[in-house]
Amino acid sequence: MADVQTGDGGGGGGRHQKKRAKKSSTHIDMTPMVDLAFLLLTFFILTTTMYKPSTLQMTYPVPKEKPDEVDKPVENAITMFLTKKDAIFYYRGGFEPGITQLERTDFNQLTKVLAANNKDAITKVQELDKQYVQGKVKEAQYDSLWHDIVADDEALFCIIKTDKDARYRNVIDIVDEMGIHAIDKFSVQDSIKPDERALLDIAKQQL
Amino acid sequence: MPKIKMPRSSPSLDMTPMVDLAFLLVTFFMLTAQFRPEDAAAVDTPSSKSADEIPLQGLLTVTVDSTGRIFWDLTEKPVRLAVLESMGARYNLTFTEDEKMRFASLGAVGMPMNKLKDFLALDNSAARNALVKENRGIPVDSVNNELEWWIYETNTLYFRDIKEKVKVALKADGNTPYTRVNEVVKTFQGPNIKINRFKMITDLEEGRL
Repeated sequence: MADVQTGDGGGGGGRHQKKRAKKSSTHIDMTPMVDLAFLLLTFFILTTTMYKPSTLQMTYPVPKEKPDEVDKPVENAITMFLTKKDAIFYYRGGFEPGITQLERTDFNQLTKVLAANNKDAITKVQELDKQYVQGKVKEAQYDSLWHDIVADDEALFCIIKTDKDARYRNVIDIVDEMGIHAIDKFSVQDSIKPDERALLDIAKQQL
Repeated sequence: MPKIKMPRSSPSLDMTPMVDLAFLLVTFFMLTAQFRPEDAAAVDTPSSKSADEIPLQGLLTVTVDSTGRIFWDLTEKPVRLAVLESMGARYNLTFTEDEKMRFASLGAVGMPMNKLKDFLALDNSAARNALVKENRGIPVDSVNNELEWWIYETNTLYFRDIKEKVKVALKADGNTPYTRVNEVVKTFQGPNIKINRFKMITDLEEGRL
């Protein structure tokens, strides 16, 4: 190399060596860099999980001033008991001691039960949806019409009572089913009357 | 026959725009991604069909984990500190600046008031988690309902400082016994707070209906 000079004290004239920058290409091979960049990109996309919780609006009944207030018997009511092992027991209408029997269902068959009991409202809502899609019903009217259907006096009224073995998941699931089956009138309670309790205890034995 | 001459261009192409693009995307994803705040307790929320989005601000979250421990959380830091101070005043506790700073930076807090100072004195999260495990979270028994005061103070102070009502959300694990969740609901509905409408945080269920 030109820059190494050893033991040469003399002038070394005549052969003047110019230092010249090496002329190498300015192009760098970018391929590994692209590889790396896309590797990182893929890694981040694959490892991130979308955290997207949603919320379910709940309205609880305002606590009664007098806890002994008698509920008026409602013909179009369905009372459901959530209990252990995700089982549901239910009866229709008002409670009549000696006559009322609990029927058993679970979360897979609940759809059928609710659909059968709330046929009118569901059909009306489906019709409303159809008209909405066809453009016969304006968006502004939709909410009030929908509300008229579900808040109708004839529409199903659902009382959900939770036994001590019920899990939170059961409550959310059943409230969700209310939304699916156009049941706007429902309430979640934890007070099970002694008569109902007796029936429920017998029914629970078959679990 | 004449030979077909292939144009002798270099087979390597300029990768620079591609690198630019790739790094732009990497940077974009890294900067826009938000870290999920460290949860004090693992909570597996049940799923629902409701697609209402969770509000990002002004949200008071009460968390109940599967063993029934109860946590309190609020999104706004200045209000968090105000709540801590008035809770301290209520239970005759004074907090140092360090403790306040730690409280502001933490997410959900679930400690009985008499253990809160010990909790805030710990500076590593492993020790804090161990302390959380030993306790039963914020008490809600009828004798000593601390949760009620947490919510009451949050409601009052949030309204005082932000001039808006705080939104209340309940986040409970699907396997929590409902009786435990019901104690929280009863507290919400209690005479001092009177919240009958609130949100329940759920996972969005897809592919149904």
